[in-house]
Amino acid sequence: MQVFNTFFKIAKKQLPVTLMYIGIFVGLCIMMGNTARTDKDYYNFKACDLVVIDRDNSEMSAMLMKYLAGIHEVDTESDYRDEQIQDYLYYQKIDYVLYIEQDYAKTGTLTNVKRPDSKVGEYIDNQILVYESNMRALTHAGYSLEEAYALTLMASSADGLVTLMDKEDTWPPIYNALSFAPYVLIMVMFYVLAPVLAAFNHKEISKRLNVSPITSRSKNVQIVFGQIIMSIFIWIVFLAFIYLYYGIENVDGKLPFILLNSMAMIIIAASMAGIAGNLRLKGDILNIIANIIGLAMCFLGGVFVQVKFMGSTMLQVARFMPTYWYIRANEKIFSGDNTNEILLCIGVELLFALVFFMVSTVVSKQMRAASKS
Amino acid sequence: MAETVVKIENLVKRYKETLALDHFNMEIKEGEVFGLLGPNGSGKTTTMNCILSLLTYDKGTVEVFGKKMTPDNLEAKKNIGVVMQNVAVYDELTVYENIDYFCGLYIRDKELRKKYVGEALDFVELNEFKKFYPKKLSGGLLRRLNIACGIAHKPKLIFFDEPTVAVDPQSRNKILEGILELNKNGATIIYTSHYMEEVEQICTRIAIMDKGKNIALGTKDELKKMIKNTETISIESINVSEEDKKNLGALEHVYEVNSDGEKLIIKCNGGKHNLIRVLNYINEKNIPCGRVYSELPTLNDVFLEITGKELRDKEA
Repeated sequence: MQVFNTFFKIAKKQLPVTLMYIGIFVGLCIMMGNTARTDKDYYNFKACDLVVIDRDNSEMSAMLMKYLAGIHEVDTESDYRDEQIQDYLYYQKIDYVLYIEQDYAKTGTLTNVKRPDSKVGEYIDNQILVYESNMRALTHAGYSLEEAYALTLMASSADGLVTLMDKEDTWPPIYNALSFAPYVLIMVMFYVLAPVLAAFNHKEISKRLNVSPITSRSKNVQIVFGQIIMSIFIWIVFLAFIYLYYGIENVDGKLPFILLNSMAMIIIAASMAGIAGNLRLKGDILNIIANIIGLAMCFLGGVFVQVKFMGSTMLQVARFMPTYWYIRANEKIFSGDNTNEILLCIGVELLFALVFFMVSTVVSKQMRAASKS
Repeated sequence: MAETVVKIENLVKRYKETLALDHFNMEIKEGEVFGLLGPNGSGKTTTMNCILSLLTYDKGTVEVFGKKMTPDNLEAKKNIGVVMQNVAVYDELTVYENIDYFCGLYIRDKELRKKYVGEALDFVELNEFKKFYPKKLSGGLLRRLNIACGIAHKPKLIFFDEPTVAVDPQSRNKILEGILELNKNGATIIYTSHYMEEVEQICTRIAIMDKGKNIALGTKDELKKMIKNTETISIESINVSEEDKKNLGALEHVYEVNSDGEKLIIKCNGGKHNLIRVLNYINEKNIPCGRVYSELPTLNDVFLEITGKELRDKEA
């Protein structure tokens, strides 16, 4: 078991990288947890700090102040000096100063002080403009001041509702965590497994192993055994995190499929890492390849960009990514789709794994044959 | 009579159109330090790889410890140690872990292995570096680690494939001394190199290879006796006339006189007082000259005389 033991000795040296990727995964899960909301709308009106100085003291000026007070924090009592107003605006203690000039009821004259190029200032300007237009239109149309005010208030309360597409879904946060699994599993397997295999496949070291009294078969069995144990270990660590962080209360009968789907993904990741390892990729080249493959598969396969946002051409490409089938299976598991459809997706994933495994074996044999001929 | 450890008969190895080994024959006896000497590309490493079953070959037989050598001949492999031309260690393991790993491929018993690894560390004087990773070692130390990994399990037959390439003179001497010590402790050594000085220094028997053929075989004295040249006299900063060259060439035992206008080279075959005769002639003729020295033939002379070319590139 010397080869097997050394397999893990070398793998242990990759622990910092593994922890880094587990950290990224945990970070993503926490981020997704924090951004998940239960309310439907994402956009709220922001209350600003206004100072209103009423120099008209008319019924109309009182209505304007009442309207603004319904939206913002309005201070009508303070008697600020001009320098004070400048200071408070500068230090953002107040956002806007509105002067309702004398004869406002007749001329509609308003003046203001705000920070230059302030978006908040424009926002309040716009609200006042809309209020003024509505009030004038309605009073000209024959409504009394009270009626016009009531109608203006009603019109301004009609908010534009913005709803994000996935808010329609009611999937639990564990769904998001499982959606990110391909990225983490692919990267971890590339960084842990590939360097170990590359070390064993090193041309000169292979020669040393081949002249030792260990048969090729025994050596290969020990390496494959090491790969399997390591893959299972990483899979268990991943599942343990999911269990500890999210629990399994919300998944009920979905658990066997979640296990099956994530297992298929780890086999895919291990097979791909096997190819890289057999090609003896190490160091910077491995970094580049791992990032290209990991990110490309995740972007194109619907891990980072949801499948429903993809164009038809993108979707055609996505079908050739094992990650796409993983994500589809995950969606089907959580939307309670037909078992056969879930198994079909997992089956396609396993086919990908088989192809990668075969490529890995062919690469390994070719490399060995090249050094033997 | 010592037992035959390695026997190669009629070995042929082709790399596509290139004939790497051309009906090669060789027999190595127990306790020998056998040198495979030849220029780069002469087939030394190919021979070694064929003996070790690392390469398939087209024709011939290879026997190790009296049995046909195949990848499955584990009994023979148990008693073989290999020090590769290129350093073959795991960058991810420390010096100790590397030696322990490679020793562990042969020695299962943990206690015995610990003892062997300790002895190997002492042997290559890497004890103080045992916790270092290979990347932290200098070229010379790395070579020593490479040797330790190949010999820790105390093999009876050890292959050294150019172990001193790119090594400083101090480390080179240590490596050569180590090889002789291993031999003294009972190991049979097969040493490949294109450094004739090293082969002359440590090998009891030498095979000179060129173009995949064994062109000469014997002890260094036997090899040197194969050629005409027994002494080369060199005289620097001398300008001789054609008549002088003719007269020098006519001296007893002198068979070749060459001059490039700066240096005069006189080759002799046999005789005891060749240098005195040459110096007497120069003195009589009152020819001014610089440094004068006489050299015994080297393996390079053997190679040069047999193949008509230098054993090693001039810059090597």
